[in-house]
Amino acid sequence: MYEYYFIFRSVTRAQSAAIALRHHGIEAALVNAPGTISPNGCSYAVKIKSADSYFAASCLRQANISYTHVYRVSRGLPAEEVYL
Amino acid sequence: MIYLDNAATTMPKPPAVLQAVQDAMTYMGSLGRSGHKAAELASETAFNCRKLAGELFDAQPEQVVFTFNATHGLNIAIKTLVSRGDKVVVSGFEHNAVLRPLHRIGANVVIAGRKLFDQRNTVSDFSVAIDSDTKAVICTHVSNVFGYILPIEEIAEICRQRSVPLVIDAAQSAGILPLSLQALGAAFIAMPGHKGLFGPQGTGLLLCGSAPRPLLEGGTGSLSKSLEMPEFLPDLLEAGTQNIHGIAGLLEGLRYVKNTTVSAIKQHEKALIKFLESSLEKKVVHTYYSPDEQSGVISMLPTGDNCEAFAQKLSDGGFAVRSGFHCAPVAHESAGTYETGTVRVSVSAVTKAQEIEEFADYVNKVKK
Repeated sequence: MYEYYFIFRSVTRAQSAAIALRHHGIEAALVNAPGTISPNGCSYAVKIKSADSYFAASCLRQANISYTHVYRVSRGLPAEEVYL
Repeated sequence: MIYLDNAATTMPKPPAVLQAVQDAMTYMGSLGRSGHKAAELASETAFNCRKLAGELFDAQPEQVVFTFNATHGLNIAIKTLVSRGDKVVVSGFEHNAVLRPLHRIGANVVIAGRKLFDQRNTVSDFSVAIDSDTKAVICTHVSNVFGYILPIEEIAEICRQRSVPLVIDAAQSAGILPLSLQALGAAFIAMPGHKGLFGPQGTGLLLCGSAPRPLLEGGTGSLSKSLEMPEFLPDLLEAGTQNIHGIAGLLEGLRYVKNTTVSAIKQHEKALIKFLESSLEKKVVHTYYSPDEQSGVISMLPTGDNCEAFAQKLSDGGFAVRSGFHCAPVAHESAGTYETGTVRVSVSAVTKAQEIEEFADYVNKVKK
């Protein structure tokens, strides 16, 4: 099962994103992004269920909240950057 | 004690502010660092504080940077914009928080608008002074000595038309007068958390309309593998552990201001100052007062006494005021009180009319 991590440059932007997504009924967990998907170390992610990923991307674009990357992550597999 | 030194710091704070600080010390970790519940709570509190400040001052949360006080914010703004020899236009009522950094940098400071309580003269002077050589305009919104409300909307309009960045010192106006980062188009607006916003000392906000340069470099909890400070706000300006205990208190202070409303606070303070001015006997003290262009700060000169001795008499009577030069020598130069200083009385949203009445009665009696 996949999870999607929307990566943000700052915790403040990630917090704005989480609030915007929850406002649309999307379950959004604010987390420290795993090191494997933080090339510069210490970034913040909003974790989304796979089924919500496209809608989440659309909501964030509508709210004018930009993210730096999206990764699809599954246990035991390398993270894969995706473009939504 | 009847506390009338709110221009220095507001006191007492709303009970929710005290509770928030205690709760933060009990339950909150460091914001923007770890992923555990205590850190999450800290991050959420900080975000809510930025968001509410953004609503009050028309800014996005990321544009709201936590500082230690207004002086810290002003130093960031000034050192971003100004280099040695640059022409900077300031008002005749600036605080040393503006003047000392400019002096240290070696800026060419031009003072515009020296007439107390004369907004038309202030606008006209600024219009003449601001030209193509002007690197920045720095202006206090309200004089910390005299309570003079400067016409920052008109000054901001001049700056926008001439593409000159504007820095506003909102130390005496945040939470008391309307302030909009967007409407003013200011490059930076600096404010303390512990005056009109009723937060703890050690807090402040810098609203960033322009890209700043950091004063400090250090850990931000972001992009840790890079030796460069992050380029984005607010992280660019928030190196080191932030004062989350203070920020939690500041959030409650902002809620107090929002619930009370800025317009009610403004009306309350103006009414108290008007009442005070009308209650003081003219032969006892000379007051610097304007019915239209003054906020909740008023300065006075006692007859037959120096200001320090008079302030001591007031303190002996249980009244807390401030005497001297109020870290604003230029303001005293402008108003003609450079030799004597003044005694300053400053109210807040929680000052009662009865306290002003008692103060006026005591002043009138003690001077006889």
